[in-house]
Amino acid sequence: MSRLLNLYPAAWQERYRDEMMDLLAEHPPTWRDRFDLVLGALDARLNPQVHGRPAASERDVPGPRTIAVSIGALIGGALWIAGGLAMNAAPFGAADGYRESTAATLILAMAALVSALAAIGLAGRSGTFMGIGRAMLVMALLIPLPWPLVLFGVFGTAFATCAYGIALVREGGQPAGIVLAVTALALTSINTQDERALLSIPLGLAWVAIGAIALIRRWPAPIRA
Amino acid sequence: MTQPFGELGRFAEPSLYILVSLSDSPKHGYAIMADVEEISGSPLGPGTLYGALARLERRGLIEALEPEDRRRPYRLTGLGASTLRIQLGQLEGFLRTGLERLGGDAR
Repeated sequence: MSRLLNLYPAAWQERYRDEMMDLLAEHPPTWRDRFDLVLGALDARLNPQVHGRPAASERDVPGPRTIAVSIGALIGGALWIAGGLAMNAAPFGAADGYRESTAATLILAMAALVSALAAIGLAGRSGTFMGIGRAMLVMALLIPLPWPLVLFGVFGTAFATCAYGIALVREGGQPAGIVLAVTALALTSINTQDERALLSIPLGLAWVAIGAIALIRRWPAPIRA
Repeated sequence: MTQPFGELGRFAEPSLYILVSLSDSPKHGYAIMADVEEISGSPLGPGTLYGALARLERRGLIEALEPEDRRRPYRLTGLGASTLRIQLGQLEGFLRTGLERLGGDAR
């Protein structure tokens, strides 16, 4: 039954969940009641009523930190996209079949850095998220360094971001984390020899989505870990 | 249903039942649900109940009291009582007109 109540917005749950659970414990719901709860959840999302209470209204106005974190994620995402496009557009080197990707690599390093800072900002006081965010930051700093450190930086960023996405889903209760995890894994196949140079773009789109959701859902507050 | 109930859409009728239910004493969700079923003869779903409670609370027609365990009773506010009085007065006029016309037809 609590799964049906999870359909309600967070502010609504904070206000009414306990008493609804109590009511449903006293009055075991019929299928009609379950359908009524689904309609109620839909209504609560389309016509939010829980605005006037102080705790809700504070959360309804995004604070400076939420705005900063969201903008960080959006900029990080844009940089991942720009880096992929720049890498794909770079000319091929004379002999080895790889593109001249120095400028694009710097853009991707900036993307990794800004994304890591956004991840740390999203972390709040959670040790798990903070730890992974710091690992992302260290890996981002390796990306502009010469071979083979750049390789450690890219792979490390990809795996740390994947871990962050999984933690968002499992510990933070944020389903959008799965998109981050999957697109981060795709980054491990990035290659300047062909169109695989574009593989940072899905990760960029994922970070843009995370930034937008963070702004709409007032992260970092809803992360439960 | 006239203002302010008209703007409540599908929650207008449940809202009126809830105000009537709370007019004699504060009640928590389950007690309101049982009372409304007794008053109206039809059950009130939990989603509809809390959708209506949220609207009434937001409009200042009811207020939540301190929770008792997980139960939170609600009571009618002064505004809620006067709004209910107006609504019932309008319904009384509507009812009287309908019965008079039926009576006229019967003659």
